[in-house]
Amino acid sequence: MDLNFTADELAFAAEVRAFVRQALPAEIRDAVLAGEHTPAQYISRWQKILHGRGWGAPTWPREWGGPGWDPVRQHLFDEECMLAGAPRQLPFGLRMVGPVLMKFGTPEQQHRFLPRIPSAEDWWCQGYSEPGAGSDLAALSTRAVRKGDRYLVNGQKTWTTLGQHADWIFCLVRTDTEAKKQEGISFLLIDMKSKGVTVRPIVLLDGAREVNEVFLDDVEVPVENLVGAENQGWTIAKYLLEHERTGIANVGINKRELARARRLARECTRNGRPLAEDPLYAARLAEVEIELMALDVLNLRVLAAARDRGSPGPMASMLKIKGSEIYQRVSELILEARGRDALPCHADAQARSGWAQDGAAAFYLNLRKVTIYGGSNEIQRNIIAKHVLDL
Amino acid sequence: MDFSLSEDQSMFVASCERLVRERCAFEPRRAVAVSAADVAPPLWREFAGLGLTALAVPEEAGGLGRPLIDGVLVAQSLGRGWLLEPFVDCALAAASALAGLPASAARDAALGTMAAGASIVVPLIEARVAAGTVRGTAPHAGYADAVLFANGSRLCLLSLQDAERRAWRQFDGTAAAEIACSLEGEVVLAEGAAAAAAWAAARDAARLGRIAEGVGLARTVLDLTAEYLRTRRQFGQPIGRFQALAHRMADLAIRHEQAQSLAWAAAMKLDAADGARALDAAQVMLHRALRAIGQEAIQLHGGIGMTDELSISHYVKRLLAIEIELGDVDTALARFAAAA
Repeated sequence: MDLNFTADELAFAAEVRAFVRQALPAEIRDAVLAGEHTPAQYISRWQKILHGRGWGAPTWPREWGGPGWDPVRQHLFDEECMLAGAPRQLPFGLRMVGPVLMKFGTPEQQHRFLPRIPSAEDWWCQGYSEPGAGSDLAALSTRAVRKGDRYLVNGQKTWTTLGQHADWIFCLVRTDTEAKKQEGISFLLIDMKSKGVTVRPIVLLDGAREVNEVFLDDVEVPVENLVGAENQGWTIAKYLLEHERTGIANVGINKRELARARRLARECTRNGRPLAEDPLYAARLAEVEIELMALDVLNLRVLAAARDRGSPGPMASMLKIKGSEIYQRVSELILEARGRDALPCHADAQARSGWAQDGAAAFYLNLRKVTIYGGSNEIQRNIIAKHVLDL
Repeated sequence: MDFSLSEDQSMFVASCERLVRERCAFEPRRAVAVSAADVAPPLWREFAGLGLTALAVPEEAGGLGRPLIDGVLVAQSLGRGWLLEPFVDCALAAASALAGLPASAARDAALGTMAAGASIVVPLIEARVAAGTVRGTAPHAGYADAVLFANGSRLCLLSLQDAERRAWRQFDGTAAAEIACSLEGEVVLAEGAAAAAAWAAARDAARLGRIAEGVGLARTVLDLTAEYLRTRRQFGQPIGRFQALAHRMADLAIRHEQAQSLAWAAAMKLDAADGARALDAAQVMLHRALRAIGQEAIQLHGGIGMTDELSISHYVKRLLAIEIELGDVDTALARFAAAA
């Protein structure tokens, strides 16, 4: 047993660090480190910079233009990028539809879609949740009826993250209404420019416009956009969720945001002294840091298992729960450090990013989402109870 | 980065698990826990036979010279079966202190007999020295052959052959004793910085070993509780099917994994610059985990968890005693925060 990274791994991390320091534009870095929402154009710009270095798809195999890193290197890459203030790469193409196409796509689909993901030519969004199908995803009712060489799609998707920028949406649709609910689902790729696709923003409690409703009214989709076999969609959906869960611990982001809390605590005062010297605040900061240290090691244990055995397994649910809870607790620390300074709503920042109001309160409020999305923490506890504890 | 066990580690863990399975069932353990507190527990000889008493003793002194992480893995494995033997205090703490000292007749002799399982030496953490006598209280002191203690800036070894002892059992069944012993036979092993370093090694190894023991026993408590939730039926189904209970078990499983992660990390970082901080973090995390697991194990068992008859109540008491033996958690947390 050895918890240290190898010399090769450390050299790799140093190489990433040097590249990010040199290549990450200052205005992007400053916005991210200040805790502002990252505008869409920053995300695309950074994605193109990484692509130029050959690192656009850090989790992909060489066969598809990825660097072929093992999970440990993927983790080191993510951590270096996050600590340096890089925006998070969008998961919808890289971690979701990409791996699905590699596994289930036809050669035509693979060659058509995969190369355009790391290069940021295509922006993907996820058409999973519906108003009547959240945690119970298999209850989805968006209907696709085959008419010759096309499907006619009708229904509504919701919580579609950054769908307003998307070129494509991958959708779970019902193709058989008679079968058991998991067995009548298919996986369709839909061009967002298709006639009948309407995107309506959902404004969130922090003013953020990051999720949308997507209405599909008599949308015609060519049958060559079906991934896998008809009615095989649930298998694909589960495969996708498994991939989504790798990297879910958010260790890098949590370290970055905890450092921000610590910095703020040194700058802010409480009762005439730096907040960092307040023993109660310091104790709460310490508790969160200890939780994060444990998450870091637990994450490495899961990564090592994924590297050695090929799958992170149900332990990944623990990473999702702790990673999201810690993220929220850090946002509380930041909110408390800002005190009354968190009250103003920075409309100018909203105009600048075109996305959200700024500030600690917005950050805190926005992060309520992390225990809900990606499989709510309650669903993750169900998974642990069933697959780890055999209850 | 590698979390797999080496061949040696796997072998030690396997033999400890076998020992726990074959010799540490609840009833025989309970018999030990109510036996006389001044008689060495019966399994110590078997520990020696498996090489466990020689684990941290350097090879030149007749031991196996294994790194601390091996001792942590062993303590964790032994902890699963309600550890009543002085493995942590003698084989890890005292042995680690002596191992770090330069060779000398006294040190080598002590290590040699400890490795063979022929003598039990434990640290007397809060020793009071006055009028030619050392007094203090320590687990296992009722049957220890000698104590290790700090006398001013000196690290001393003292045979307990002629000591006055008052032995008792802690609420969790662990034997302990208050001792008073003349300093006449005192052997000074080290002075100044060397003594301080050796004493720190003893304290660190004791803390780490106890943390690992807690991780091991908490695993047993979790396993028993999960098994109970699978078999106990109410309202026509196993109670583990109720989400209100299943989710709490999931949270306990997470806490346990966190505590185990930080215990291992602390064992491997102990000599690094942030080693002390890693140990404090491991203690705080273990404390949170043991409180939650101990309390919830009883609650999830319901009334039966309150009974003396069931193993759970005894294991939970040991978890609580481990917390207390580790020392004040707020102090550890404050130290961790101050070292940020």
